[in-house]
Amino acid sequence: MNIADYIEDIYRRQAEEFLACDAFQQLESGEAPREAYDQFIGNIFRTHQNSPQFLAFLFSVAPPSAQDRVAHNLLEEMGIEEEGGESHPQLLTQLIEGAGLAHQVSDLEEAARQAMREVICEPLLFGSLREVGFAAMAEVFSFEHMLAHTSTRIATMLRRHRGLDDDALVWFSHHSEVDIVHAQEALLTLAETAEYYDFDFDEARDVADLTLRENVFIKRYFDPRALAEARHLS
Amino acid sequence: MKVVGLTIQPLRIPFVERFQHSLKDRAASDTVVVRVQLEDGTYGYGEGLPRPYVTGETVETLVTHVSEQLWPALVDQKIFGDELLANLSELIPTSTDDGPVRAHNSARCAVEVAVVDAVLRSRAMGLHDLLPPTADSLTYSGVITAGDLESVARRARQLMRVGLSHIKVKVGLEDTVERIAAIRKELGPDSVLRIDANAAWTVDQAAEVLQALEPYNVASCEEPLAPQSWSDLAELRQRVSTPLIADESLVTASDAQQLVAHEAIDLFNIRLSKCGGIGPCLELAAYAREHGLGYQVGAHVGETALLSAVGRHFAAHLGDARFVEGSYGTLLLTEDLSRTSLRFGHQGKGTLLKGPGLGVDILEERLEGYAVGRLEFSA
Repeated sequence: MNIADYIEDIYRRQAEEFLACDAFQQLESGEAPREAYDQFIGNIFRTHQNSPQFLAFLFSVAPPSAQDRVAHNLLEEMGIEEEGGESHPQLLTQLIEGAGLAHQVSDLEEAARQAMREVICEPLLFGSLREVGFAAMAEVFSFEHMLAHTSTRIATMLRRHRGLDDDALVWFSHHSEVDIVHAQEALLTLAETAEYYDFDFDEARDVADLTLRENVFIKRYFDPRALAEARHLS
Repeated sequence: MKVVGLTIQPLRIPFVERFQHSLKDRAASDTVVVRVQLEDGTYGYGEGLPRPYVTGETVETLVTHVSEQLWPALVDQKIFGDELLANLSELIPTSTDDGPVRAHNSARCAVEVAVVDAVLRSRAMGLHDLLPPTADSLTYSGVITAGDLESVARRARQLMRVGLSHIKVKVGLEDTVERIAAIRKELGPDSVLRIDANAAWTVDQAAEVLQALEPYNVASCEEPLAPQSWSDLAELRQRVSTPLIADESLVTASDAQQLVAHEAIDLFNIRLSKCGGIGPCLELAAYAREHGLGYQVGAHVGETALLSAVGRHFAAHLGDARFVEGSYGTLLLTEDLSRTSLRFGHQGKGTLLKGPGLGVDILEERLEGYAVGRLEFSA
């Protein structure tokens, strides 16, 4: 097994775990109260507000063979890859406004800033940017992969049970199944990064295992309690 | 300065993964946070982790003891900031032998630390002023819990990847020698490897295992026998060369005296919650020094940033702890309570804390989010 296959296997299992967790199942069945949908939408907004900054970091550590790919991803995220493009944070604001939650935007933006501050202040477990970069890549790209396989289902759920229209759901269509190429490119970038920085398989696997110990989709889109329930740790 | 309000909040914070040893399989942190309010409006936070298999305490006994004993003893009493710890040892004495509870130490720790935090904040001081550091930074240990041979070897490799050189392994469940051999193989010869049996063995079993482990250079063995088996521990110490550490056997000052009187131990494991807070722990460290014993500054599994902060101040103040544990933060908890992480970094390094009070800012919304109960008292 190569490292891309190993990490893809973790991504796939975690995406399945996300779709199967009680919190998502309740949303998808329509049984959840309206506040649960609003909370979910707010959590998606907050989780992805900082994506341009994270991608900018990944661009800095990407190997030469992957730099164009990551740059393309970053520019697209910022909405400047093509004329008239919209940044993904703007599309997330569209989601929030479409859900009638515009009054929460400043609080959610502040929460995203605080989350970024926590990430930056947290002592580094690894000894160099080589490992930190690979770990960050493994986590950030997990969302690319997961969204490519679940965003259509999430959008359908929000359309059906929360009454959101297509304009509000544009962010999901940008990450939908048609974006599966992006997800594959992310795995290629991970493999190239491991090779360029001389990770052997065991080391790359250990860094990936440490980084992806938690299901970040459940943790970020719901909360740590939902994660504990999904893993029978509650 | 007087305490005019007190809030008790038992919390349940899920772990990232299970933590197993011979006495307990744990998936969430059962901890209790106490918040006190001074008459000038200043708040302070403390934490205690009641463990039935250590002090005999439960969350319920902690709540009852704080409600019925410690709060009435403390409310409206004048607290003198200049001799704070001595003053608190009078106001909130350690109490022992209360039915199944050997000592209400985690309850006392939670209240003592909260008052210390509040009083220091009120005086614009930090715990580093009360416990001046004698070390520049600390090196924390990693822990490997129960699991099959493959999973413990993988965990050992992961701990190596993050530069940890002090590793403690929970043993006693099964295959101890094979597990240690597998771990030593992954770690190489330079890592400091120690074991914790959590009271799993008899004297003969312990002697047999420790002798079999000699080729693997085990730096110490923690709590090999049933707690408070003073004579057995002394006998074991005569039969093996591995230094022995007292953990569950060291809960009270009387335990420390027994250990010394029986020449039963090489090191104390001093844990804040287990031993009753800062004041009693300072006394235990002084007692160990006086009798030529070493000590490690230990931690309870599931401590939040509150006790991580106090443990860091305490260990930095002592400066000569053989091993330091704790500050696992989000390596174990899915979320911690502080605004800034107290988790150790690469190579287990923990920097000194300089802020007011305990040096850690607690996020009230997280505290509320994980609370499974709340009791409030006011003067």
